[in-house]
Amino acid sequence: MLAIFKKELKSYFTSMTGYVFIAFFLIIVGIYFAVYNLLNRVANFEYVLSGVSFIFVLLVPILTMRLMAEDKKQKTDQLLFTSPVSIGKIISGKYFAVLTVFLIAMVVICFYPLILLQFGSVPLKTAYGTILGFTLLGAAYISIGLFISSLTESQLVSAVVSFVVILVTALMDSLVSFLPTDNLTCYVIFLVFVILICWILYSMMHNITVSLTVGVIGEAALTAIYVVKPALYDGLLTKVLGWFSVIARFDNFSSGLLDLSSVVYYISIVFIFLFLTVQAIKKHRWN
Amino acid sequence: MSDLNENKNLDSENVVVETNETEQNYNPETAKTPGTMDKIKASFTSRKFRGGAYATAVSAVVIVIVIILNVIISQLDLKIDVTKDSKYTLTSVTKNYVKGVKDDITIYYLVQTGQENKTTKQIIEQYPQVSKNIKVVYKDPILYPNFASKYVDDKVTNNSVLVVNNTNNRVKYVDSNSMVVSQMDYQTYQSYQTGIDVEGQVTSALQYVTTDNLPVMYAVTGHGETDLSASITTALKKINVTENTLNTITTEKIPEDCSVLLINAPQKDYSADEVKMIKDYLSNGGHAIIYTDYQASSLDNFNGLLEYYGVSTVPGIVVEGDRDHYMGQYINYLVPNIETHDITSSLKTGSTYVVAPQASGLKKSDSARSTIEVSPLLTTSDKAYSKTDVSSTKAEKESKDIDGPFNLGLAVTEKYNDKEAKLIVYGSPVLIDESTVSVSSLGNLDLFLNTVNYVTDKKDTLSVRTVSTEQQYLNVTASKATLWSILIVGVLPILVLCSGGYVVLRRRKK
Repeated sequence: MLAIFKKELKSYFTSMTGYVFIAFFLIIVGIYFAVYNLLNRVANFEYVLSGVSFIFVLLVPILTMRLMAEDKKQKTDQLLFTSPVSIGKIISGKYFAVLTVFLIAMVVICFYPLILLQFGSVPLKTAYGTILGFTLLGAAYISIGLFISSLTESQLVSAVVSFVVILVTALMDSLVSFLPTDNLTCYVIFLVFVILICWILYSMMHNITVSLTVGVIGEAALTAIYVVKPALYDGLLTKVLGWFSVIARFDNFSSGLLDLSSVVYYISIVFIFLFLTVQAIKKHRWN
Repeated sequence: MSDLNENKNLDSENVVVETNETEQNYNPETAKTPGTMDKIKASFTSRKFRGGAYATAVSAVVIVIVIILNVIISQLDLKIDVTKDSKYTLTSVTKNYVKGVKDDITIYYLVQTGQENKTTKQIIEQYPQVSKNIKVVYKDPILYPNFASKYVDDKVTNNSVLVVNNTNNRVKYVDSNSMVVSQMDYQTYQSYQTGIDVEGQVTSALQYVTTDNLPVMYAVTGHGETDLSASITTALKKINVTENTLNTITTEKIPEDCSVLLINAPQKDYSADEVKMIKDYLSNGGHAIIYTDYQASSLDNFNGLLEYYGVSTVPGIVVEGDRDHYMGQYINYLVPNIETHDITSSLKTGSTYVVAPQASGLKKSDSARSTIEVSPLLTTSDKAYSKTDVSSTKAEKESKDIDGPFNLGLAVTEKYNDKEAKLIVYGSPVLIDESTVSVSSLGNLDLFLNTVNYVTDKKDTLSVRTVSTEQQYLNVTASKATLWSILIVGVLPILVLCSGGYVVLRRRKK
């Protein structure tokens, strides 16, 4: 893993990729910093980071699109996957290399609140809490980008899909508040969800029996719950989709609340998507 | 290896097909069923399925474990509040009160799912953590529009809170608007949020539903008394004091449930009967808060009442001669010294100022009975004097003016026959005018609330301050702002790009 990590990291800093990413990142954060903190003289650094959280929609696809897709296209992935190193380690190595590029940018940003100290009192605890949350948010998005990159051979497709997915998770927070919260609509939408899961199962296993069984059991369970206790569906859709709103958790940090469950949530997202990436590559092998 | 496997699979599929054909010859009716069954069986043995099923099962198990882990962690509810004034944490005032709650309380948070207010949610979810007798239930007012009407008549708004005491069925509704403190900007005539008061309102509602004997204040009317301002009325509601008016001319006796009698700057005199009625009330352990007005003249009976309790008013309007004791350029906008007393202790520790505009001086009269105890609350400086000619245009002291210092607030207590009367007298009605109580930086509202709490013997004063959300600013000079902006937005990223360019070019040259 370490060898792959070193090799990947080196490739970022011997080409322009790493530098361009860091410079671009610093420019966007810098503009917000200059406008909010320096020109408008606001003492809170957390506003800057909540203002630039859209940055990931633009930057993560650029950073992650070449991660797996590139290897696939040039068939160098065959070399990697036949090497004695396990796929899990390869993926982690690649992930941590990208993460390091992002972390370098974040370390630079850690100095920004300190610059403000000469002008008055700055709520440093909230500022660094927000930096922590922002870093975790970035780490989660990068893992999503990595997963999407592993699904396709084309860098462009990878970038576009990542862009759309991250945009949707970013907008989810405001979108969910418009969703219907009554139990009937939620019940119907969950029925559709089960069908969707069956379809995913089928595409994974190519087995109608399993998909159908899961489907029938799932729909029956949902219906039973709806008949016995429909109140359980109240606002459930909003809650479930809200759980997927990666950016909503960041609001906790930027409003000064360090929540352990949010930290665990982000680490879980990273873990699940790294795990899914490994599974996706394995699937690629047996297909 | 894999090729071998594939062949095996193919073989087994072939075998199945063969047996199907043989069976079909014997019994055409049942032939179809075992055929599909076997096909299903076969579909479970294909290599594609085994790989896929294994991956799916593992993925499903991992995802489920991660979700369960997340649910457990979120149940633990481990949070650190890093905001400057701990706006998501309950104050010790609330915690101490909530610990003592014995009744079964349900706090209904009336909110549409997905539109929860972060502060409201954080604050109310802490109540069950302090006391087992309190639980929080979310109710969507859109899905259950009639839920709240079981308890209250008010039209409920989104993000509001309903505190229900299931033991004695008392209910208090806290509107979402009352949990936001806003101030009017008189230049743009737009109100903007200055603070959040979720905890204050919910704790007050909790106190309301758990306390049986809530204080009732009667404001005397009929002599040109000033009505209470909007801020005062809201603040009284928050400390659960019911406010009533009382026309002393038409009543026979001060009502039994009266905890405080408020006399706010009468302009016309009281009749002898009314004074007697108030004296009776006070001597039976009643309490009163009185504000005097320098403009009202010939209030002989009313002044007689004050005299009876050892307080005399100094004619004229008090003017300060000490620069440190008046506001801006207005020499009659007094900033009095705050004396040590139960009422003023919180103001003293918070080093907040009180403004007493257009005040008349108060003196302890020499003829007071020995049972009467008079202690000063607010005093002027030694350089203050009372202008007897109130229409005079001369600010300087004139020959007829009376020398200070004066008291601007006096607390009188008299213990007699095991009954304690409390009488608080203030020399300025503007102390509780909207223009002074609405200014959050002044202590005028606190002084009033402390006074009410003092006379009503509320030991557990639940005055939870609102959390300020006002913006903090830095002192950045224009030149420094430009310098740092150029460094951060320009120089730093260019430096990064240049070092990248240097590394890449050097590699190419090699």
